[in-house]
Amino acid sequence: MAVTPSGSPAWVRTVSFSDYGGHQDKRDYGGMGAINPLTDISAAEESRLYSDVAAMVRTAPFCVALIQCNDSSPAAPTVEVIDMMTGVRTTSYEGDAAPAGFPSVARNGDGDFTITFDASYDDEYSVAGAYAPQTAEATPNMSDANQATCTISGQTVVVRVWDDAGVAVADALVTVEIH
Amino acid sequence: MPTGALAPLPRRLGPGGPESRSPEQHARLTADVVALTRVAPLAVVKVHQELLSPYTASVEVYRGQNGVGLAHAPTLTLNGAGDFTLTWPAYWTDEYDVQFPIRIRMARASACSSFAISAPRLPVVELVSGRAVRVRAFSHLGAAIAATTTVKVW
Repeated sequence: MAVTPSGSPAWVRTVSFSDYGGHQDKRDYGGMGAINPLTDISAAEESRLYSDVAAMVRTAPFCVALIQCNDSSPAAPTVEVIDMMTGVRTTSYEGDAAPAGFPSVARNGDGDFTITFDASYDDEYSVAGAYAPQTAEATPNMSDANQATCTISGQTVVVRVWDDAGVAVADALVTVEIH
Repeated sequence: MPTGALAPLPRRLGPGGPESRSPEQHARLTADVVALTRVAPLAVVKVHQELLSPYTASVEVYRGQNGVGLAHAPTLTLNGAGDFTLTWPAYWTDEYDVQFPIRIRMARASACSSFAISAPRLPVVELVSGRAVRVRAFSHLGAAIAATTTVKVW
């Protein structure tokens, strides 16, 4: 029988150290403690693990992606690399043909695209966790004086890349970090 | 349930509560750790740069999966005003002497500046190789400009 994990998946951000077995009165059985550090794990050591994992879950990004705009021959942007809490993909895909579990990316114009996320993702135990982007930041991975801006609406993040004169940058390459 | 010295590793799951970890808690822990591993940056680096020529630069803060502190920081090469390259070694070694190749695939940067909007620092990051990134900061007019910058790489 499959186990159902306690708590919610990381991206729901409701994590508690108690979801992992943390307890403010966590103690070694019989007060004995670890005797052999090569074979024992103490309550104190485990307690540190639970608190540290909970701390990281609170602040980790949900998604980081390297996205290549295709503007010279207009087409959906290419997702070159994407790291998500739900999975990592190191082989590229076209934004309008996203593999299951990964966001689609639609071209709006030169250096301008929309990333669309699902409203819910499953963890490894098929526990669903609701998701909606909350913050987004982007950096052009280029050598010229460009900058990128992000706006969020519902399940979508719109990224635009500009040059120093405020003109949209064609064929931009950009890393986007979304929480 | 005996634990500690009475029941050494492999660790045994129990009912939870003050003296054990339940299967449900262990399942959540493993799933969340995997989620974190997927999105954790390789490193966050703050590079301080003097605003005047010769634009001396130095790594001020380094927090990496390979370690925290300047001893673990990448090599900094100054290219000019607001322009520097960070180069990591080909491999890093974890606490168990397992070597991992460094392969940077994504990078972000932000300027740490108190300057007025008339002189913002807008950094971009070029992925030079799998272990090197070049950071350039520009003014709003597109001119290279010295800047203290925080760089994050994956």
